[in-house]
Amino acid sequence: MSQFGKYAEMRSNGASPHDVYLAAKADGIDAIKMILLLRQVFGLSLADVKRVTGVAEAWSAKQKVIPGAPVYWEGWSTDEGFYLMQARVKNIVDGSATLEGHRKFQVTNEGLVEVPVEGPQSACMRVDHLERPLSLRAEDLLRFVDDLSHLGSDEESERKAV
Amino acid sequence: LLGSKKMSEAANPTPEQVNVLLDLGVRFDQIAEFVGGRPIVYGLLTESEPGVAIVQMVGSRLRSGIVTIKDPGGGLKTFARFRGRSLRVAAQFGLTELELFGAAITNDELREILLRQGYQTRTEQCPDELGGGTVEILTRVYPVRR
Repeated sequence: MSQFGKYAEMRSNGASPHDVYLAAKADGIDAIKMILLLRQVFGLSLADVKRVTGVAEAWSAKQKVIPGAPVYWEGWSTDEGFYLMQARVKNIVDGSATLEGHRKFQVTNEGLVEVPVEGPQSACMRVDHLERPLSLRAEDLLRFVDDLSHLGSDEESERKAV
Repeated sequence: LLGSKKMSEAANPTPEQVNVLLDLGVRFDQIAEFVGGRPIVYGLLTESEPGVAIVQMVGSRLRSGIVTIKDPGGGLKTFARFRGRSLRVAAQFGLTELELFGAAITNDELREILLRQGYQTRTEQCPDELGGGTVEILTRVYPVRR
């Protein structure tokens, strides 16, 4: 407990787990030590720590779509399978985000592979589409990973994974 | 005998094996413990703030799990990269199975998605670095293709 004495004292003075989490984060405590700290100082379960730190809500949170921020979305084509797109928000007008700096990643049996962005890309996308939370986006990826796990090695490429 | 040979090889990891572990996020000073079969807790690279993950080699299986990830926009890219790097670790160590898991999943929607995709619940020991005790995981085993 001694390594977390400062935070135990905060608890003794009435600070909540969330108060201590914010203080420890400001102090530069890393993610691994943060879990140990909150469990030792407050006797929390790992699941409780995830609630306190906001990890639990992240899967239902909207993706932030603001100028300058990176945004991510997914796509599918019959020849490429499932892929992930990344771009930066240039500006937002009337609920549409103008995007630039597109990058594309294919999900393969070698891992995540960045591929050239070819052809016309989505220069503009609806903000509400980009804001969809992970909970609405994750299942297609997991289903594709399941499909990949059934493919033989002859289906694989020799591209370099990232 | 085969098991003894694998242990002997694993005790002195090749540069390629070291590199894939470093790519995953394992620190250099944790590699000896990894090849000895201990669960390793490491900082997970994400598209936003760092997460926490665990990796362990058990027999012919690599167990690779996410403990925390707080990455609302880039979460799928983080997961896909984590899966790929885990696959490369498994392949470099000659393992035939990759077990992916999530620990202490508190988001009901994610839990439902994983259960629909064939993940199963199990109770495991939580590493001491994360406070010990037991933790529920959602887990699934995939073959490693080479």
